[in-house]
Amino acid sequence: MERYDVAIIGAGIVGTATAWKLARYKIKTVLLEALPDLACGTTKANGGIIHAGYDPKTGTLKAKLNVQGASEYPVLAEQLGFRYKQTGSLVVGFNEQDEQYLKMEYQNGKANGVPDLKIIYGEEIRALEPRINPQATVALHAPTAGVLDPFEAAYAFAENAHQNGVDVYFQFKVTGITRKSDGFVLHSSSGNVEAGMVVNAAGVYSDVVAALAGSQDFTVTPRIGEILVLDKEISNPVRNVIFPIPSPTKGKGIVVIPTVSGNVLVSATARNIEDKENISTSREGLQELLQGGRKLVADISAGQVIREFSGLRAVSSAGEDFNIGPTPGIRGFITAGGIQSPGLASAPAIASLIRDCLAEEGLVLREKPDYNPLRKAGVRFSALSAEEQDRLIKENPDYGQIVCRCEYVTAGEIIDAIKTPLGATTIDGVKRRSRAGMGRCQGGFCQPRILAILSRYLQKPPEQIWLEYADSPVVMGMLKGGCRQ
Amino acid sequence: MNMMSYDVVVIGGGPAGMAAALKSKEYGCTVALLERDADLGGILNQCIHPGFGVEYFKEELAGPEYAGRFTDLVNSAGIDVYIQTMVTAVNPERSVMAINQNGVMQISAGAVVLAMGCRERTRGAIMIPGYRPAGVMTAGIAQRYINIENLKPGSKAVIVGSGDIGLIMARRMYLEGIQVLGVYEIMPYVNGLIRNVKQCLEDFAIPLYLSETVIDIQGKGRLSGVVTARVDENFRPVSGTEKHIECDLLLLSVGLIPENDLSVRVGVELNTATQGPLVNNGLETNVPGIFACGNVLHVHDVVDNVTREALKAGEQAARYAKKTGVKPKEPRKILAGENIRYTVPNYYHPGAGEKVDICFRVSRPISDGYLVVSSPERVILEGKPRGFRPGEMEKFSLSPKLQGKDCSDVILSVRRRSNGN
Amino acid sequence: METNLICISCPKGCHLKVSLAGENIQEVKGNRCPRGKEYAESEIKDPRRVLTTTVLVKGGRLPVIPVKSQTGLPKGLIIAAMKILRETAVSSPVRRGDIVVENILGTGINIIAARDVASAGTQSKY
Repeated sequence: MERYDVAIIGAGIVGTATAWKLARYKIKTVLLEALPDLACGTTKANGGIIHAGYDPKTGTLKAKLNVQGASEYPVLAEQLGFRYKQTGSLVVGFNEQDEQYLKMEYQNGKANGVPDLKIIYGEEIRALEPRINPQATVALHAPTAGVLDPFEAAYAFAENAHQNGVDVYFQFKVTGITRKSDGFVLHSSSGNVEAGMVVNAAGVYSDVVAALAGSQDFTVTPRIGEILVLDKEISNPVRNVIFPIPSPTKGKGIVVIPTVSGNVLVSATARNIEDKENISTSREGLQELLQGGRKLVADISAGQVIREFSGLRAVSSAGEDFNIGPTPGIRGFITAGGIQSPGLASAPAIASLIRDCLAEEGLVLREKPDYNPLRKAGVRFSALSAEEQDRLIKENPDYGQIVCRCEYVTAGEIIDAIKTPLGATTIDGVKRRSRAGMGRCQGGFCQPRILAILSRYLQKPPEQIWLEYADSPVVMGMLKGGCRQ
Repeated sequence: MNMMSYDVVVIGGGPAGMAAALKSKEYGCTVALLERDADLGGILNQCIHPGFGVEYFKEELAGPEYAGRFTDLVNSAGIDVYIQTMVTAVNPERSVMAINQNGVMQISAGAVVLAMGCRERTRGAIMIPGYRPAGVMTAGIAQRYINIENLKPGSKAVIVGSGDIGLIMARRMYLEGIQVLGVYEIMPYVNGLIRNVKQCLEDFAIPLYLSETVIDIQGKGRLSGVVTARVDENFRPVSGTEKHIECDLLLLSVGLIPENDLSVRVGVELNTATQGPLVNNGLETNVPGIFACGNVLHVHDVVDNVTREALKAGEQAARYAKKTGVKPKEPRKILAGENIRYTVPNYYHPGAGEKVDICFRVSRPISDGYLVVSSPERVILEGKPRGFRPGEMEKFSLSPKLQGKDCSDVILSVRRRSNGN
Repeated sequence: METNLICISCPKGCHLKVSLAGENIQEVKGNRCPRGKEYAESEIKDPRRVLTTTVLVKGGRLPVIPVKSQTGLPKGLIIAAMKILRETAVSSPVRRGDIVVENILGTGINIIAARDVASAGTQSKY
């Protein structure tokens, strides 16, 4: 049985950021993921907002970690090669009551240490956001807010961790935890690992994992959030993340988000549910999103929608704040529970806090002399100049073959997505790494071709290639001809 | 980077692109035909069913045969064919950027013909709630898996939408031993051609449910079932009519959209009804020297019509490139009136002494109607009473005589003969 | 007796009203062209359909090739013909029009290839 100093359970944004944070020390770390790929839970189904940090109540962990995390992302994006766009955000009000609320938010934000906040009015709002609902009268502008693709950030964290020596196991669903004098044994159907300390970053399952270790301190209720993806906008795109005034019952409300790739998200509904696997969308939810989106940007229409999906957020019984720290009575077991919004924005800071908790529990942290803080971003063909494209194709003709017509993704990029360490093994894995299939035809043209490339590079027959989750083949085998030649 | 120059550059090597290229070549132009796939023929290569060419070749051909005949003509005509070549941009001065495995090409074109075809509407576009398992796909992907890749997309299928591809795939799957549980159409009428209802569904006793649709998709890994329901006149599910159906394949045949990403980026204006470019009777878009034909212009139901339209675009593009066209007068509008969803073209140039071929579709089925062509002042023509269906593209020729001396705007309508439908 | 048919000869899909005396057609109404009458005769006396499907190709650039019956097969033989074609394989290269199965089920009708398929090798296929 392999023994590690630290095992991180869950390869979402918190697990991968923690792995990245720990990879710089002379410790042996493993990242354990139940699903076939990184970032397949809450992280993939997320609006991707890096909140500026004015919203969490001053003095909370959320406030502190959000502001700290948000300030780290611009640098991390450079070092780790993921796309981050500082769009700024607007919280939009329509009347005097809203203005009062925004002034309170402004004060709260200042106390949290959020830079450059400003209350703006009328034409100032329209200058920043021409497509804003014309009835908007007042807004809180936070220029430091930004957006990123959350799975892209998670891949970057995990790949950097991996290149610096962190092991990653997929389809390693922890089904039992045995406590020993010098640590833990983590059991799964695909084998066991031993670890001196454990980080529980299991998202909506963090209560289940804590219970396996013997802690019944909290439960997690999944809160489902439905999200719409709108087609790319060629002229007059949305520029800022646009929030409504939050409601006491619906959290941050329905937000309009320009993505790093030029799409718009309308995100998200909020409804507490029982089933930790329920990521279905509903008719009511889709209508609610369209209505909510139109309150902020009046010309949003159903015709622009190219995809709908749902994600779960982990609502902890331990309270509204993040629940991060050691587990009473279980030495070396750090839990990151209740990581809902602003979890993504806070992730780098959460990772630092977890590191500090591990150190307090007795983990010895000495920096590796050969730690490489840089990760090279993969080729993004469509973003290159014609000269660069030409040069690249002459080096490798696979880049001269466009597979995804909507997003102009080349065969070369798809092969890269598969061959990169911790690379894609599923259709959706290829999609999230390369954007092939993310455009308006949603894989209508490229899915069979991506399936063929995956089949060739993984040396598996097509019926053994999954869409995303275990046992989700897109085809059922050969139609005729029986056995394979 | 490879710099080149042609009189006419045709984007897309399907039936429209091939016919346009051939016609331009006939007019003595140098022609480049750019195709993103490894073969010419476009979607015809996976449309293995018969029924193509009845008008053009006076024969009933399979899709690949129709494509093959044109491919042979193109290959012997002296047209420069670039396969596996994707156009990434066109600019208003008709400089075309394309890439293939040899590198990036920049082609300066005397005229450009857009012939990129269309794509299928997806689950996202019609917003079916539920889970996102494997096994939910457009009818066209299933068609490719079955007819080209020899892969089995599932074993028990439900089809949502009654577009032609869905109907054709119902028969195709039935013949290949895949169970087809039914076709569910949210509208009270069939979207595809009536002959496909007969020969694809009725011939094999595959049930068709009108005013019913899929309201939930179940299954976390692979599709395990769907819920269907009847809908009311506002297309809302009627509670109490839900049926659970166990299946592992859901095909979507819910419409096609012209693929105009490139066109929009070069500044081509689209018709909101077709999602294709607004064109004059020479099939020229608002960007001078850029023409459009085939499914990128509007979705056709018969390839023979695509060919006919593309020959015209090829001719006009050649004339533009060779500067042999007459400078036309101010265009007149061709407008969609009562019960008409759209017309192609949207403009015509009066006084050219040519007939103007107009295609149109009605916006809903009319069993007893008649075509009315009018100007703002008077009725020009009334057609014979007959039935009209949205699934069938209608054609009408506006002769020079009908254009009259005044050459005014023209409005097409279909009126009902009586109030009782 | 009168029976209703939908003509499948072309996309217009005319609704035909056929007056019958026993097996004999007396009158066909509703057709917009002469093919409607021919179709009605055939559909009443000996309904036929052109069958298209795929067969395996050995050593080809593609795994299967589309094929079709040269003319309409009797409707009742479609399923039997499918069964034969499911077990049929051809060797590449195949040229459009090549006979794949001669005189299928003794009908006198050949099954022919509907496209060219070159041998595997030269072109990449994504």
